[in-house]
Amino acid sequence: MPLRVYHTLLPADISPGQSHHTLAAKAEDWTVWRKEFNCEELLLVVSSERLELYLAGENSTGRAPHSASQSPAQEQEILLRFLRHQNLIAAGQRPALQLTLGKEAATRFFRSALGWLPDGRCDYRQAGALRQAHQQAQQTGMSGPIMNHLYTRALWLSEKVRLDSAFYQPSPSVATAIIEIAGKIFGELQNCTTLLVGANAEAQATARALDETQAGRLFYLPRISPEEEQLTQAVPALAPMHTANGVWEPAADLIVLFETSPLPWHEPRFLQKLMQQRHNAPMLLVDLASSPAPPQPWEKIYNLYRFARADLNRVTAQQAQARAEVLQEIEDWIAGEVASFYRWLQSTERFHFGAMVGRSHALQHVFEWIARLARTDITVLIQGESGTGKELVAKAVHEASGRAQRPFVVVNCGAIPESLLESELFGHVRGAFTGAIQNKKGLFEEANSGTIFLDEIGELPAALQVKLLRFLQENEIKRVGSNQTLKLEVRVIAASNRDLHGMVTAGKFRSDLYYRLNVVQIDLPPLRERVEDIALLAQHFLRKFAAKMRKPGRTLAPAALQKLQTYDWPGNVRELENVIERAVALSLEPEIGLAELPENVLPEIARAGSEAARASLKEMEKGYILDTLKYCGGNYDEAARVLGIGRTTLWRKLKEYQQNESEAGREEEKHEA
Amino acid sequence: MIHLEQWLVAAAYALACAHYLSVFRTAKTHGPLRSGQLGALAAALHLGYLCHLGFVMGRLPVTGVFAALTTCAWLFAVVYLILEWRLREASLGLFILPFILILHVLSNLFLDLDRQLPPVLLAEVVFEIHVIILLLAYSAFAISFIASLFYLLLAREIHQKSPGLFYRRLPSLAFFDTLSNRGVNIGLVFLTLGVAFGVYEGFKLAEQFLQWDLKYLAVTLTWVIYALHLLGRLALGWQGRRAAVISVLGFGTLLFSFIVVSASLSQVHHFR
Repeated sequence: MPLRVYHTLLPADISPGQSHHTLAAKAEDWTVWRKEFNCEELLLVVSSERLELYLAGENSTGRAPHSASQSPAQEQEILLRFLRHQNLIAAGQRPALQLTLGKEAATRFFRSALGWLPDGRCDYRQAGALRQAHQQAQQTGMSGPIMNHLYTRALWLSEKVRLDSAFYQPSPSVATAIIEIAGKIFGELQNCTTLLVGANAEAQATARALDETQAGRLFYLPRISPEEEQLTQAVPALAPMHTANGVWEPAADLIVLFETSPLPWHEPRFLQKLMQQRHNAPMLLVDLASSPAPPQPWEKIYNLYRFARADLNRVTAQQAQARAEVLQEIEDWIAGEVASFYRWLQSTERFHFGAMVGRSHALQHVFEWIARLARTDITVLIQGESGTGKELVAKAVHEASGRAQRPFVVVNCGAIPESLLESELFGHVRGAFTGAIQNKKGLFEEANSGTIFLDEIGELPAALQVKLLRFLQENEIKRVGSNQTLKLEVRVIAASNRDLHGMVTAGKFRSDLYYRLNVVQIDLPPLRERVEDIALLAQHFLRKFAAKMRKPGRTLAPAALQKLQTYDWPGNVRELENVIERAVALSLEPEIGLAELPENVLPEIARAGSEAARASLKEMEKGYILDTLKYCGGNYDEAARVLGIGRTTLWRKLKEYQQNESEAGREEEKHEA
Repeated sequence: MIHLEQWLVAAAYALACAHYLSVFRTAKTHGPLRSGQLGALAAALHLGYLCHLGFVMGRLPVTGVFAALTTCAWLFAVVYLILEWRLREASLGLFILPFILILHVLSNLFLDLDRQLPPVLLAEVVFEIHVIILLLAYSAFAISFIASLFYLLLAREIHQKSPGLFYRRLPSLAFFDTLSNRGVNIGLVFLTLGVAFGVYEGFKLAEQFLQWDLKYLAVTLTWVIYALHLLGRLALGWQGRRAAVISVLGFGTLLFSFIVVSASLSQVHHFR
């Protein structure tokens, strides 16, 4: 189960007021908690109303989190300890935490991102908690690819919901019904003057709702209700309605009666007077005070719209129905998101980035960093042992950047003689030195507007370190022998398998250059530290070489895979690639066993291993010869050349195999007979 | 060829009508096309057809009742589409496009290309200006008419307190009131201008045209009704229902004067 969540609605006695600061301060404990929870990523969402703890990730042992070793009850205990540690709950408190797994957990995540609380309320302000939680998790390194993927999808969804649906509109009530009808009559409510008669709880709620929709000027009729004070306190924008010369000033467009008042609201003459005062402009009168509806049927007055409570209820019911439809639609959207999240989670595609493959947390982090860094033109320093794929990272950065169509120039600083390196990098002008018979562009110029990848940067001689530093600071180079400076626009990615920081302290590498290069450092962990990637990588290379050598359907025997996973891999991925290439070349059967792995990969046990897996030299030779012949498409000359034997020798051996086979065939026939 | 074109235009309008209807019924606007775009496509086809018609007739297709009718339909479509784009409110299209479609189909059915105008009229540019200005006035009045119709429908649903389809889909009463009033204001200006041009031309061709005619009576009545609409609003504070009813009345007279009187009863003011 790659995702699970513990959640609870917060009881009143837990106040997460300052919890966010505490959480950030204690980030360094994270590695410990990760182990305790047996997960890779963690997101703690705390709002004024709820608490949610999302746990995600296949962990490094390949064991599913929440496996047999850890029961939910045990995990709860750890969780409570965690919350106590974060100062979220006091020592004695034990909030009842619910556990939700899998798709439902993902659903909860999306709902949380929308501010859709478990009790059905939809509050945009509640959505902020998840945003804040994610930001913190990013800062503390608690989040990872799964959470980030979920989060970006949730952000996208919440924008869609905000723009394309009525999700955040208040749930149906008397107030929403009044606002809707008034909107149908007056259009925009900004110019609508409202008079509230009465001050009960309903009046207060309506006044608040009207105030929130910015509905023009709000008035109340003074000295009607004992709760008048509460009303004016709830909505300070309310003003008392004044009477001038027996008429109200200003005339109200919308009048809502919440409580009975001495005014004759049902007398036609009174109403007509009101209408005359406003030159018969349309007016809406909502009567919630007299229930049931007034005794005599209301007669029609030109441009006057009257609504009783029962009429209003009909509008509210319709709104409720529309609301249910909106919620259903949002639920469908969320279900779609969850399904696509799970598709993403289960696909191996997410383990590929550019030409890189890896499912380990460390490498997934690298992928994410690349995606985030690529678009900026920031200088990147890649550190990692030989064979970990530093060039692939650089290439991926280049390809994910806006420079993908521009040149990508690779320079191995250790491979070019020191005396040539400067002119190689920066170019030279004619006559700069003996043999410089014409102007030559340097590699920096070749890489202009693209990316230059400086591998083995630690081998760069001191003089060139200064020149490189100058380029990084001023974006200028000088060709050897020239006084002219050239302005270039090149992104620099440097890599080293040596500990540059150590070289700086030892005085072998300029510290100013180091700090200039090391704006962002990507560390590629050696293969032995990310065992879970080995199967994936082996699979990847197997497919690659099988296709290349036309040996389709090659698989790796479990025993062989286990050997690969226990090996130390000093040469890292490159070594693994070579091992697989060799194994595919040697393989006779569709399944690659221990026999095809090189000696050094197999620890001593393999040598004493099963005899059945080992073939005799003769058999090995036969298999290899036949296979090579196939590889060369049946071309004897080619096969002989590849095998390093004479054509006649090959011929003789093949004949021998044929003879053996026909003999074996005859023997079998005898047996059957 | 021209017949194919005129029915192609009709088909385009019918398609737009259907789209407006489906959007109105389901309130789903997330299709690949918006109704307004289909309407604009139909109007563009219509323009092509009008150009061809003008080419065939040798002058602007406003001479002759039924040529004027299709031009009127086109002007109406353009005015409406601009309004829809400016006001971001497409619910009116449901009523306006069928109206345009009907005008255009009527024109298709009765258009007679062989009938010629008296050469004395053809010599005058003023005549064409007169017709175009009046057509613009009619378009404005038609918008006002439809807005008023919607006003009455919506007001009825609100009064009956049974929120139905119109209640849900239409914008507010205030919106229709403003739209209707603007239509009348603009229409009245153009009507006055158009009549002034007509009178000017009539004086120039005095011996033939300044006779009493039913058409003049109908136009005067239309003008009086719309002027009353304006006056009532400005002086007596008429709003809402009353204004809407008068606008509907005015448009009734206008239709009468334009189609019935022109086509059959009028003796003098006839494109003959």
